[in-house]
Amino acid sequence: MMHYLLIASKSGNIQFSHYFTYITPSSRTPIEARVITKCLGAEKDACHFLEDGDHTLIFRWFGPCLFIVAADHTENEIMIYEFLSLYVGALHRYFGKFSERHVLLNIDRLHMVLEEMVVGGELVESSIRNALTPIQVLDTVSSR
Amino acid sequence: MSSIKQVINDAVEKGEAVFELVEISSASMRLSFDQVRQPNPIRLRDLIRQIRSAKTAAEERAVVNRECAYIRLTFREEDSVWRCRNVAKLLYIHMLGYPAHFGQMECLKLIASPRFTDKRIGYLGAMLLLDERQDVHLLITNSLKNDLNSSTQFVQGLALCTLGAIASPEMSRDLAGEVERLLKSSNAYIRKKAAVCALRIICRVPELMEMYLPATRSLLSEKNHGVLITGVTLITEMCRQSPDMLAHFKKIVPNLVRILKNLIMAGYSPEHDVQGVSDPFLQVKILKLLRILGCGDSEASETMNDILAQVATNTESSKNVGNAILYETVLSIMDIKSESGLRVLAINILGRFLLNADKNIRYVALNTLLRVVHADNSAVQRHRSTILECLKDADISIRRRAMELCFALINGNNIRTMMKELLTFLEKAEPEFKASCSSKCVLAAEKYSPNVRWHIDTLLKVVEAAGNHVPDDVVSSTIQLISETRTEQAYAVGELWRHLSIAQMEYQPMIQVATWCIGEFGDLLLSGHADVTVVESELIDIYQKILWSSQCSITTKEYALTSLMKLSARLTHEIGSIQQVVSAFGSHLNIELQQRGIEYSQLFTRHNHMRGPLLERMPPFEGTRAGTEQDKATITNGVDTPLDNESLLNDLTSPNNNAHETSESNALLDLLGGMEPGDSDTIKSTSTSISLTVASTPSVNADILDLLGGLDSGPAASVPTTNMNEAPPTQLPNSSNAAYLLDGLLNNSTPIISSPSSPVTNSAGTIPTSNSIYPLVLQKSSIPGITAYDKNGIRLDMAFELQETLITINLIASNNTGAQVTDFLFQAAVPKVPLRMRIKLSWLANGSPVQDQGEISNFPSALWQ
Repeated sequence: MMHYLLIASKSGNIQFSHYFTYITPSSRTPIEARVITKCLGAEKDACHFLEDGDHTLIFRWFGPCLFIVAADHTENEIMIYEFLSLYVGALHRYFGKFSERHVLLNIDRLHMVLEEMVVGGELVESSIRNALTPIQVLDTVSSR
Repeated sequence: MSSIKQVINDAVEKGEAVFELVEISSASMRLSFDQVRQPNPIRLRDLIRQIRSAKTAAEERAVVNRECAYIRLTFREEDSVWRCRNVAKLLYIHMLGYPAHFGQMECLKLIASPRFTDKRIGYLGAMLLLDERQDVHLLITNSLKNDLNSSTQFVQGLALCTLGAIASPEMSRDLAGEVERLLKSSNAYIRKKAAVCALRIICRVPELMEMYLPATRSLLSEKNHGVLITGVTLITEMCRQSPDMLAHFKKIVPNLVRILKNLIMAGYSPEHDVQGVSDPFLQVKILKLLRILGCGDSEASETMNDILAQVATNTESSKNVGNAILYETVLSIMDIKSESGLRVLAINILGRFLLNADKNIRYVALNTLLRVVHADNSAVQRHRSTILECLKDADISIRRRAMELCFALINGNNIRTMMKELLTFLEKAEPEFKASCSSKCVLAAEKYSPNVRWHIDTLLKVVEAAGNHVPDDVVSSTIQLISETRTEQAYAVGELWRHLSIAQMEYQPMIQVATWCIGEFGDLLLSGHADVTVVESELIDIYQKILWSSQCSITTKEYALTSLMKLSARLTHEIGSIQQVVSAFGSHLNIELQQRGIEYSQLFTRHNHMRGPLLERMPPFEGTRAGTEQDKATITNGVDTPLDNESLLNDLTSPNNNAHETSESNALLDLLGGMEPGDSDTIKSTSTSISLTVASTPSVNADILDLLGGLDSGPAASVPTTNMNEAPPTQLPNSSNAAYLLDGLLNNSTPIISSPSSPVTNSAGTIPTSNSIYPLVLQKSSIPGITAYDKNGIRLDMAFELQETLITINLIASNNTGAQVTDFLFQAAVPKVPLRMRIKLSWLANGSPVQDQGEISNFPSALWQ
């Protein structure tokens, strides 16, 4: 199962974090800092799977944003790598075009889309269309 | 303008967090809005902008604090209109790392609100801010229950989502029934979420598993992929947790096979297609479940063989998703009882992965190969050259995996080529690799070296390449090997001299090995047997360099000093300068060196007649080196003898007795019995002259010697592979004068015997050393054995044998913890009288260190009568 998903900027600032297992807020910051430094330190064409304690870190760059997922050792790392692609694809479909600005200003949306796709660390929905439908319906309803 | 303003106001009235407001505002619009002195809290977006525009951390803190204060104020005022927006801002602030606990109650209120947007933010807040350790957590349960029964599927979905994320055991028990009901709902959206919720519930409360069993049956006949995915995940978790469930679910294997087949065969489906593959996520989940179901079960495995072969051959490996599926397939093939053709296919896929340009794929392949290499060694050997290539890869994770894999692949045939590559790797490796790599190299060389000269060469290269990161057992292994093989000694010492003369003073292990050998075999060096021409003065020069170098450690200097002394018996001309050097050390600041300096100087003056025989060549060490016996279990040697003790033990096992007065030897033995730290030094240099007469010595000495003897002729991985640590003899605190620390080695979690030592006799000389592990049989003895220690799951039993004045103690250590124990270290010290033993134990149980010390005083009185 996945433990958390982070989005960081090139300079190492955290822009979005969603935890699937509870970690006390005070210990989140050092963990995030450590993890982000590790992933930022990797070279461009190096392996995207790192180890951090008993989690495997899978990270991926999408433009200027660094997406990091921490998962158990038993998870298929390549699959999670693809999941990141799926998630970003969903965001792209939802916002029309997805850029760093969207990450910054629409954090709650990111949480919602993520929740539609992953619950409790396990993948729930693999189809972008199905994941976005509820959110889009609610958007149209509430904006009326 | 006013109508637009009206729209905005309406939206705002409804209490929306104004996120999704269409950007109708033109610049002027926004400007006019902002210019109005707003009684409404600022939008999240604006807060984010403000925070990001803060130039310093202090400025950001100021903005955040101001906003927090405002939010706290509004919370106190129980304002329900803006609560939603404020909590949203609070969540953002929380993400930045600021404390946000005062928002917890507000989340609760939001959850209880009838408005959907409120609920959404409330549940999100609950998920991020709350955990089950807080009391507020329980209060959500009621809201959750209500929402689970709501008529709107989205509200239900929201509640299920939150429950899935933060379920605590109590909450799970309360709401399990609701979730079970929803699992049977007609709405696929709800079913999907309910399945994941059930998954979390059974993770927290495994007893509730049976409740969900009936519902799972129908989950697999779904059309909806989302429900399928969650259903499969739920069943996987159930099988993982309970073997009964596993047996129960074996019958669904045909269903799974069918679903997988449909996925592969089905044409393009736009909503599930990822890079040309139809729902790879579902495929991977099914493969994982198949793996669990087929593991160890040949019948189930047979049913799966076809589909696995089909997936393996049909999946496109040009895309990453294809590779993900192939990876999962390979894992499944290797774990179930598949037929050999399929296994070969799997390993070939891994071989293809190794050649893939993508580093991730290569890493994954190496990882998997490491897991299967023990089972299918020959198949993996075919890819050996590719793996050797990976040793030179730029990426550190790949290098590390490749290194481990290489060691697993070494066998008698390929040892030369592999070792060559590994040595090149060792030279350039990072320090964290060097230690493990060098010990593994030594082990491998030990097992598979084709001849002795190659072995020595390799060991020397390892010591040289690893620099200062050589673990101590490598140094002693090298020394031992050289001392054992008479034929190669000249060659070895020549090589070492060459290294030493150009060596950097900072690499201690090399200098240690070199000085030891030159000290022992200096005559070979000088007489030209070693193919080098060396003049005595050159030797002395080098020694002086070492002894006065600030880069050499104290241990190295100890080695050098002793070896210089030995040289004084081998050289002819330069004895005077040696004496000078040695006596200079009599005033060294370091106690150890000073002591040696003074005592060695004594050898020149008062005991000059003894010096020659004293410093004769040492006999080969009797003990075994690491790795000779144990192949399967990994042994970690945890011996902590300082240098002098180690050679002391070796000295004692030396079989020879020179014609020496018993008085001398008795005097020495008395010293042995007394075991002052200083004595051990003297004794060390009197290597060959200790006659191991024990007939006339007090029984205590016998005990010590026996313990020493017994330990030394112990099973594999024993004494000679001692660490030449700097650790001083571990004097236990309250046995100040008479405690001499002996070290025994007991390894692993399997009960082993330290082999019974034959009595240390006089003229017979040799102590038959036992190089094999004795079966677990205690010899019958008239003296009752004792349980020396029984705590923390580790038990030490001692059995005694008394023959005249010789006492043999057999020690059996057994691991009753049920967990794996590694790095077991047993240390004992025996003070003079009365017979008791202070012991110190340390081990790693499942990775966590445990230490203990105690005293054994319940030795049977028969022992000292």
